[in-house]
Amino acid sequence: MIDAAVRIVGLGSPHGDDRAGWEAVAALAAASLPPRLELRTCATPATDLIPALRGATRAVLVDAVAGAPTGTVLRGGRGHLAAGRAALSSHGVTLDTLLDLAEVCGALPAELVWVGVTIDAKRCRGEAMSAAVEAALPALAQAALEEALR
Amino acid sequence: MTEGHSLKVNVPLLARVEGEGALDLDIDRGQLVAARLRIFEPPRFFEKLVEGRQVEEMPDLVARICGICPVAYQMSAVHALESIAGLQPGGWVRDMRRLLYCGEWIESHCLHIHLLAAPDFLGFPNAAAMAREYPEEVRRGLQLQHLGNEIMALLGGRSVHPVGACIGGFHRAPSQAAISRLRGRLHDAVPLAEELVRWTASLALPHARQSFISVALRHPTEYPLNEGRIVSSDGLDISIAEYPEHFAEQHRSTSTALYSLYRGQPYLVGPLARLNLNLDLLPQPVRRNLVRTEVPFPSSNLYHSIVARAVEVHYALLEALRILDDYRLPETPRVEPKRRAGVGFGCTEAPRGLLWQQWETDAEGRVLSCRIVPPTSQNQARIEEDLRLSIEAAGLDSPAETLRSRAEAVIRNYDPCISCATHFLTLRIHRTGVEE
Repeated sequence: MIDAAVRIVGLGSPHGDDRAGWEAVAALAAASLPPRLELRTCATPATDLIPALRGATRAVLVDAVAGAPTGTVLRGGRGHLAAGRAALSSHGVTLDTLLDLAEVCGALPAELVWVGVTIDAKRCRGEAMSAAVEAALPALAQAALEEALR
Repeated sequence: MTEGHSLKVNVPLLARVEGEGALDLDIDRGQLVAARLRIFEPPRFFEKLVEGRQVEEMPDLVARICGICPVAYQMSAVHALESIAGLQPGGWVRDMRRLLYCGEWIESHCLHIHLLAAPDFLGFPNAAAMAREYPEEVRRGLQLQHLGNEIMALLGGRSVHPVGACIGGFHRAPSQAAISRLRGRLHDAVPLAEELVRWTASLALPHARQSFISVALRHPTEYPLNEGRIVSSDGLDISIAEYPEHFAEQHRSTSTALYSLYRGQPYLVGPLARLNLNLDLLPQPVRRNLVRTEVPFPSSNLYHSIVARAVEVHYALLEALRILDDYRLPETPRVEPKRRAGVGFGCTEAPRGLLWQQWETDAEGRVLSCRIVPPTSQNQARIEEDLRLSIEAAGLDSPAETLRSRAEAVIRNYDPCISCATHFLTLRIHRTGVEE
């Protein structure tokens, strides 16, 4: 039973396996969910992530993770994210930096975890996803739901 | 260290998602002999990818080139392709394109000011550290940035890789209700934009005057976004079709990116160049607010770019409000596209500067060829020149960490579109020729 605002935020882009976070949220949107569970998607974290987190007491980020073997579902907390450094361009702002900013702005949920699926970051061309990542989407969506309801 | 030192600063290539970038500084016997910024782009895949495809697909395709400035790529493309077909979409479309572009400027500039530039000038290692000491300023910046996103989503359907624009106009017109909601929020944000300009002007910006040529669009009656002639601070004044006669791109063996030169020289595009060349076209409220800061424009201090960006946020907010105040639902949001063989040019002002394109199509509306010259390749030679000057000013004997920080700040100031996961420089230093 959820008694506070819990949000699942899918991060991604339209490029190949990097769509995984969006697709997992799309799968959840088609399911029957508890009323206080909210779904969001985020395309440009540097601009969209903080508004997507604001107001939630618990958040689950769903994202693609560079790693191997492709299609492995992982879970973790903030401590597992690479520490943010100053970016050289607008494209380099890291998730960790944005979560720090959210904290400063009072927009960081009290509880935040992430679930991810490993992808081959060099194969994010076109819209088509790899078979391995596509096959992992149900498990990714299930992991996100479990973390949200935990 | 003294003159007898030789120093090689090498930034190794790192794996990244969309390309690779590196900076090499060669210091030999106390002299900086080379500063090479190696931006490894996927080598112009788009220019080949679009050949043979229908022109109607182009606005959505080129929006994928950059996640931060998709509108710029779309706008240069639609203007070029419409010029081939002889299309005149009319005043409503023209206004909506300006509005869409205002959203991108606000979003991109606020992101750069607060997450990249300001931490350098306030002495913080990153934006998060700055936000702990300056929470109100960061909140203000994020609020403005989000408004830019909302404008883009209103017309583009979504703020990333927007899909609302098409040849001839837009796929749909926003409702009056949506316009009214956004107008109220923009109106409330005007004081925030004014404060933003004053805040950036109050920062302890380095005094780093350099000699450079500014290049930007210039329109007879308005601050340039989608239209104008190409002008420079040394007197150039040409139509966009004449661009190839004065600007040339060069390959270099160390990079897959192209270097643009103006009559063989580096040049600057972007907010500072734009403001330097179009100061008189700012509306009175924007000029008044800027004059009160006492930051002198035109400026030869590259670090005044942060003030120029803030001024353009203020301008874009007021311009968006002007357009929304006059908004009316059109009979149709687009004119029917036509197909015609020919060559067309598009040149608009991306947040980072001039974005020039040339397209050739056949009579069936297929793309025969395309050439895209983004702001980053135009600024690349200027960045290297700035790196040389700034590293020398920092003192070639400075510790490696000092040189690295200075180089990073210089690169960040231009916000090169290197769309990379390699977001910091790791230096490896070889010292030879130690003095007696």
